[in-house]
Amino acid sequence: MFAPLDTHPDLHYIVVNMSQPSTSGEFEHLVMLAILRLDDNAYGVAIRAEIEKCAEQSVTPGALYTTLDRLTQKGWVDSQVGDPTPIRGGRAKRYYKVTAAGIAAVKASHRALQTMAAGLKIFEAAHA
Amino acid sequence: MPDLAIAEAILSLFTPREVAATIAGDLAEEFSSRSLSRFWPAVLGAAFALCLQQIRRRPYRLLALVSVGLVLTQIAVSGLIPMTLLMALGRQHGLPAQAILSVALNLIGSVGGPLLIGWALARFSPGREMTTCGALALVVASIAFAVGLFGHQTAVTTHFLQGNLVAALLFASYGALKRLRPLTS
Repeated sequence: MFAPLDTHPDLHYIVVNMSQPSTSGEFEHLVMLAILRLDDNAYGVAIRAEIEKCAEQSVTPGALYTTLDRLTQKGWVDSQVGDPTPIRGGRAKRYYKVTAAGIAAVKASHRALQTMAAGLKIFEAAHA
Repeated sequence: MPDLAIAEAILSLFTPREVAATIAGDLAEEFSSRSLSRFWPAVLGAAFALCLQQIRRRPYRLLALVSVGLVLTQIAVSGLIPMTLLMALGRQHGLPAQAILSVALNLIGSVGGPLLIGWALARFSPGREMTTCGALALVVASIAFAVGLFGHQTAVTTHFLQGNLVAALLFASYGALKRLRPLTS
């Protein structure tokens, strides 16, 4: 019923290079940077505190946990459960680590931001 | 220290149990020392955010399931109206057997129908049982409130309203039960 695509000279193919690492969203970027900064102590409370301290952004628990879940689904972040502690009502901490794919995404996002910002007068004025 | 078992159960409605436990622990660590009054809003906020994320992850599938569930619910609820009339007719003519039969059918329709629909919804949305059943419950409850606000208060509309509310309650309960059952067993 349908002719193959290659018999239609009027149709064009768009080839997308899929090997490029995809970039993270702004908040995903912040969360991954916080995990990298915290190294072995990256769990929910510490990650929130780190973002609030460094980025001066108020972070709701819901936003953080949905983002961590999304990053885990993407394979950019991995987690492992620690030991339960009494201060947490016997609940364990979940420690997060950024994977190699996550680091590639952070780098790609960072590069994209730097490229976009390069040469803009507002940044030159800030550095001057 | 707040009751973490309840917090964990609420979060477990929208995320796996092990994740819910760590989130509850995080919130307890953070808020039990600072402000306990902020603990429960934080738990509910996190649960709501996790629920929205589930909806965003597969919105069309959820929409399709809720739409089918809604159509089936309205068929089930509408099917109760003739039964109610039959019951009224039975009363008028002094036919207790027919009245009893009508009550039995009514119960099967109003409880069995939504339970069957809830079961199907939960079965076709593994991991998102509460989100799917809860979404349908909200839609059905909204219809019930709309009928209550704008509908003429006849026996038929009252019955339709009641049927919708019972169905909504059953859907939400079924979603929660289905989601929490593996935790208690």
